[in-house]
Amino acid sequence: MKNKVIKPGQLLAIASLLLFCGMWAIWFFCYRYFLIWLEGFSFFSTLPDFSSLYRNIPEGFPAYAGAFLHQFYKFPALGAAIQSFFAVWPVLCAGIVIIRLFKEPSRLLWMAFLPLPVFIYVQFWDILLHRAVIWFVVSGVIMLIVLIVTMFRKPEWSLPGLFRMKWLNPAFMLASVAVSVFFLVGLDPRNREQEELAHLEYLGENREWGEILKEVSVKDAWENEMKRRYAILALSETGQLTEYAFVYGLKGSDGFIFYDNINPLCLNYNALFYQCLDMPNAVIHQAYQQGVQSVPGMGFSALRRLADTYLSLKDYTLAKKYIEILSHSTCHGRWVKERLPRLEAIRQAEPVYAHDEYKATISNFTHTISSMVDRNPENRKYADLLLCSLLADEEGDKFDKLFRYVAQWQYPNGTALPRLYEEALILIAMVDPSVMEGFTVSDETQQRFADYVSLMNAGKATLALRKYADTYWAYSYKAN
Amino acid sequence: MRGLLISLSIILLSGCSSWETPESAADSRSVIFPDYAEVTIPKNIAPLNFMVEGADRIQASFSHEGVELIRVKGKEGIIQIPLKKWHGLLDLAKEGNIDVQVSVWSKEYPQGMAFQPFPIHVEDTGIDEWIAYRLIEPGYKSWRQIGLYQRNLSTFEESAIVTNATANETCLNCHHFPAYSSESMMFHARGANGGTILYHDGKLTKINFNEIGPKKNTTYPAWHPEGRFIAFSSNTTRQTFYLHGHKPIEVYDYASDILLYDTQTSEVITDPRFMTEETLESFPAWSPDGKELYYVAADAHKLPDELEEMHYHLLKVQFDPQTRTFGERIDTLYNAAVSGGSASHPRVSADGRYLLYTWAEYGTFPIWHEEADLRMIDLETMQHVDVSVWNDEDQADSYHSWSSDGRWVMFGSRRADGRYTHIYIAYLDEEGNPDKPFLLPQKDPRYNEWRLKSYNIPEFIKDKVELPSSVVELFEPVK
Repeated sequence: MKNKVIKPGQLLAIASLLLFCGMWAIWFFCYRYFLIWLEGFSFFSTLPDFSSLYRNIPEGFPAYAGAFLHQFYKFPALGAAIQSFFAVWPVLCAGIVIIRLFKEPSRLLWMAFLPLPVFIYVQFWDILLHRAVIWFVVSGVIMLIVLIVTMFRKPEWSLPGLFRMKWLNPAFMLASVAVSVFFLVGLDPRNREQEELAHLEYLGENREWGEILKEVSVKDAWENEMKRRYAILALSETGQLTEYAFVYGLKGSDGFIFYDNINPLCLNYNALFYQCLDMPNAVIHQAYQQGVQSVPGMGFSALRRLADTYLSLKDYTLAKKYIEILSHSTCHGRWVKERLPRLEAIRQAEPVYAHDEYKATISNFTHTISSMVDRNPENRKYADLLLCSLLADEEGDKFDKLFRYVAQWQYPNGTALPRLYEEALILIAMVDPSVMEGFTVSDETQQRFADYVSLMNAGKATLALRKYADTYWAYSYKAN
Repeated sequence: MRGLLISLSIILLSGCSSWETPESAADSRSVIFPDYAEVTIPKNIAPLNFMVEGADRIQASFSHEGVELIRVKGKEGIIQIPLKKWHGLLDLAKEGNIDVQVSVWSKEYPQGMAFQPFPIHVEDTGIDEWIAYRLIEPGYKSWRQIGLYQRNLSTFEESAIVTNATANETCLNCHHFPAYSSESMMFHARGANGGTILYHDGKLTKINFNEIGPKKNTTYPAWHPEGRFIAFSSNTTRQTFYLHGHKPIEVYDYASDILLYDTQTSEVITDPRFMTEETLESFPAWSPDGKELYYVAADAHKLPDELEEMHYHLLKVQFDPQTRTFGERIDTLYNAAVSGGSASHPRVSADGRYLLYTWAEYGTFPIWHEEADLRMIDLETMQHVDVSVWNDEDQADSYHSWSSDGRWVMFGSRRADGRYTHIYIAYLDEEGNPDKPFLLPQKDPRYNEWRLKSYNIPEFIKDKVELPSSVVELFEPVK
């Protein structure tokens, strides 16, 4: 049987294809949500304002091209394909150059894999894609020059035998891919963290609160302030804040949102948080700050949120502005189409900005949420957030007063109290027994508290804190 | 004349094929955006491109003295007038009217509807060729891309004067020019390596006001028309963001004083009357002859609680450039305690006849006040002149500047959408009669709606500013 010889071009094509598939799998399965996040952080439109902006930034045209491509990251399979293509392209170009220039190119194709680890090393945090575009252009230009020059005269350079050893191709290719994979998934722990946070952002945007609580372990929440806040928000949205706020590491009233942090992930979280609390002015404020942090001064994620918020406020002019801007991007056709009937419905409507004669401001969390409770004392979510923030700040007196106030609406006629409130009341009652008047603390809580106190009195604080680790008593003890 | 017009119309109309005749005619004008109907424009303004919302095909004919001179057809309801033809038309129509007749084809008018024409009056006076402004995001708190830009008013050319592209953490603000000159410019660069950047007599310098004189920061500038002095207010400014309501932001000063910088001696000159804690002085502005300084001042209050008690008066003090001293007497032009409200941004027309300021119910940052309006005082009679035609009832009209001949006013207004500041230009005739303002023309009229930045501090300048490229090195962070 005749041995079939694989041509160098075929070998290069097979190697490139395998590399592409491998890289695609890594990007898609390991960094799927990061790719989606990249789309939200980026912005592209065909409007002149946008193109002129890129003339004034150092990254220039490559970043403009990158912004165009980032639109497709909305579909992570496509995003993974683009990322993989950028990794494969320099290899492919280098391979073609080798085939055109050297003798016995099949033995030298391992050299085409030289650029791969170098490129992959910088690829993850190339969030404007400008480096990738530069690599793409430079590789392509070199390849084209070689193709054109060798059309007239093929040099067939020869390299020493050392470079042409049989085992070099598989060994170097595998080593190169292994190093690249390590660079992508193993070298920098920030890559994984970014993916995890992007996943939480995705779940939050889709209101998958149960999934967030599955993703964020108690340990994660204690160790990572972003994860902790997502867990706290998920608890609030699922009505479990009064059960697990301290379990997930709530440490103070500043633990609900981010202050003075311009990380787009944090600003997006803040905007999402206020959106869940139906506080449109705060959402708009955070969305603008988030947009500003994107290189063109606006990101798709912030734009979509602004459009939806202005739609809900029935502010036709601004909703139309943002929807029209989004309609001048490549991948928002369906998104825009879905909103056009709503936009048309508010064409003649009066905007519904809430009037506030007290002119409450967005400042620290307790102050801000107090204003919401003041306006909506019957709203359980606002009340729980404020009561928990007061407990987290060890503001027993304020908790007592507020609890009495909101209890009129929320816990009338001896309605059972949430566990945290029972624990807080019974603890505060040790100093001021009158706080218990009008409320009933369950027998179970009373028994547990008696046990906790007896352990403390017996000098077994460590045991008491371990046994009652998820209680307000333990939190209060540690805080003091 | 008419014969000439007809000849020219043949030339200008040449190349315009397939002109359609709409089936119906309306007895009203079409609603166009921007609203250019019955505005007065300078003879050198860029084409007033406009659109009709909801229209598919559109035609507009531009006539002067009954002779049709330009025909423009457009898609998506947009009329974009060729630049050369437009300027040819303006040359012919000086001191006269252009009548614009619009026809549209839409779902509503599938066979076409011809609307009644509307006039545009062309003044024989031109307008300063260039304007400078800053572009910022609305709800400005943090930033990333900030730049000072310039725009040619006869074309649509826009270019950056300076940006923070290589120093994103630096904020650029408060640009100013002496007597409309593009040869000199100043702006603040806030950041780790920031300072006040001065381009004067061909030299670039950076001044750190926190290290000289009274060691106070400088904020709002007013460059003396003779170029030697710059008056500054030194403001300690804060922002508050409202939780509810349409008004999202309040900006206020905890403290503010007025300083004078001598560019010849690099000294900061102070007057104890303008340096007290009890009174907040702000927004200095020179008279065209440089002999008077206008400013606003208010009694200090506990802020932000007593924000609504902050009422700024409009004041004037003499200035002697030789002795570098301010006069003894301070005149009150607008007494907020008597008349109510609060004055900001005093600016005197180039002929010294009128003073334009922004009025709001209270405070010192009117662009976030929906009630804010422009008001004008005739400095000869000291009476207010009615400029209500420049103001929008529902949205803020604020920062303004005068053209170098005093006939044109440019101001920022939020009337388009309530959130973004756009530039409007208006004519004031020699008798002090204001005309309807018009929105800064854009190549594509939708560009006004789609721009994601607000125009900030629009200023007229006579020519294009060419700062040395090394300017960014003055404020780039030290590596």
